[in-house]
Amino acid sequence: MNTKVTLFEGGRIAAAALIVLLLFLLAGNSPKGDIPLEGLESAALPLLKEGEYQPGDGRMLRRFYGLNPADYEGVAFYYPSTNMGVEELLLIKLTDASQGEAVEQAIGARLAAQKESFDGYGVEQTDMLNNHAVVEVRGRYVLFTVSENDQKIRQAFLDQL
Amino acid sequence: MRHGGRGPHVAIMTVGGGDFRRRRRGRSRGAGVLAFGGDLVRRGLSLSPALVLTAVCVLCAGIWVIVSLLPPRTTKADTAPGLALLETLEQGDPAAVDAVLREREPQVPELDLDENGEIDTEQVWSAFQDFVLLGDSRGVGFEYYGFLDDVRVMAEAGNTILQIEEHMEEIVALQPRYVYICYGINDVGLGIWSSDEYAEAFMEDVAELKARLPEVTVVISSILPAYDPAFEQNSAWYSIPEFNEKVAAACEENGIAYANNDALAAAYPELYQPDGIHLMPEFYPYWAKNLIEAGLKAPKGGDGQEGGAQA
Repeated sequence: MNTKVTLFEGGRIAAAALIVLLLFLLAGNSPKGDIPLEGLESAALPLLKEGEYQPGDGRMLRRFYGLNPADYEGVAFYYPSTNMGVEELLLIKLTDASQGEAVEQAIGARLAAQKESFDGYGVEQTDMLNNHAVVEVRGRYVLFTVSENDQKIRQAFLDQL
Repeated sequence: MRHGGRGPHVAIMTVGGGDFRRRRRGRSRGAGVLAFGGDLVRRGLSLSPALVLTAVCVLCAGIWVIVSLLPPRTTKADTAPGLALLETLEQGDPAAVDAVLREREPQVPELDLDENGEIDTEQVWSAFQDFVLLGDSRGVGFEYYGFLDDVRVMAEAGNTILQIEEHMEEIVALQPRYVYICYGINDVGLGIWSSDEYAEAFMEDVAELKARLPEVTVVISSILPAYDPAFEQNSAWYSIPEFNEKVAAACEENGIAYANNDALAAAYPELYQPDGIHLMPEFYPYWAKNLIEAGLKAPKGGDGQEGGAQA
């Protein structure tokens, strides 16, 4: 038996291995199937600071982000209890992944507006907005939060996916 | 049914012991149906009462649906007299009409506190009619907490009386009867001007506003005091009383309504946020009451003497 591997055969084996590797990486970076938004919400909400947030409805979502909740499969939104607070959580399950870019832009605009609002005015708020804000988009799932526990919230979000 | 043996197709149906073979042979299909129906009548076919009732109900329902779907009968109205009236009104003076309407406006009753010091918040917010409210981050609360229409609340964090001119066109476009102005915390905190300069600049802005809206009633809110720990952030806020004195005097001199909030702030310090500057949602109805009452005390179509209830 000829055990030698020709160059051609070697290339085929390498290509197959590369494909397997790519698939493995993609699978690790994509949500595992259809994840209910409620699960993401229940994982993140306890990590927000008690008393600093309140649930938001469609009107507030449109006001703060210019987003229409009816455009998405699911939305969970919590905004600051007072106009001097910054604790915030937004979870969106997109109807289609192509909506992600527009949502990210809306989040960016919201964060910029908050920073401008507190610039030279609220030192603690500005610090939170600059150093404790997280935006994460994974497939059809979007997370935005401003919180002291921003990294824990981010991890809880990723763990669910 | 069983097929007969003679002919290419002879269907034999037995009803009541008879058959149609002899009747159907050689006849058309339509004739056969008529014969079938006639035979039923002759045999005295009876229908059950339930079937009859159901048929009647279905018939009635169908008639009702058809009638409902018919377009309503309308008669053509004579619009000539109405058009003539509109043309007459078009020739009139809008200012005169407005003056008549203002005189006919119902008077809003004074917003009393009950024996527990509580106010009817629904009454307070419903008293905000035809208005614009200008303010800083404290003024933001009027719309942030859903109390007032955000279109009519022009307030942002960091704003000062310099924003009055910036909002002028927006204000004029809304043609409000009342303009409530709730600035000051930043004017004092940022050290933009002395108390005299602040009062003077304020009166100039209000004069400009009244020049654009001659019938407006302007209500200036005194600057709510700051409490600890706010002074650790900015000791300039100790000067708030001095600024208020100058503005109050200027309002009296110029006949502008002034809402003095000193007693209100002293009565409800627990309704301040922990920063000692901003207010909890529960504070706003009391503040609003003060503003409303100051405006009501001003003569219609202009500004009155220094006033404003002290809550």
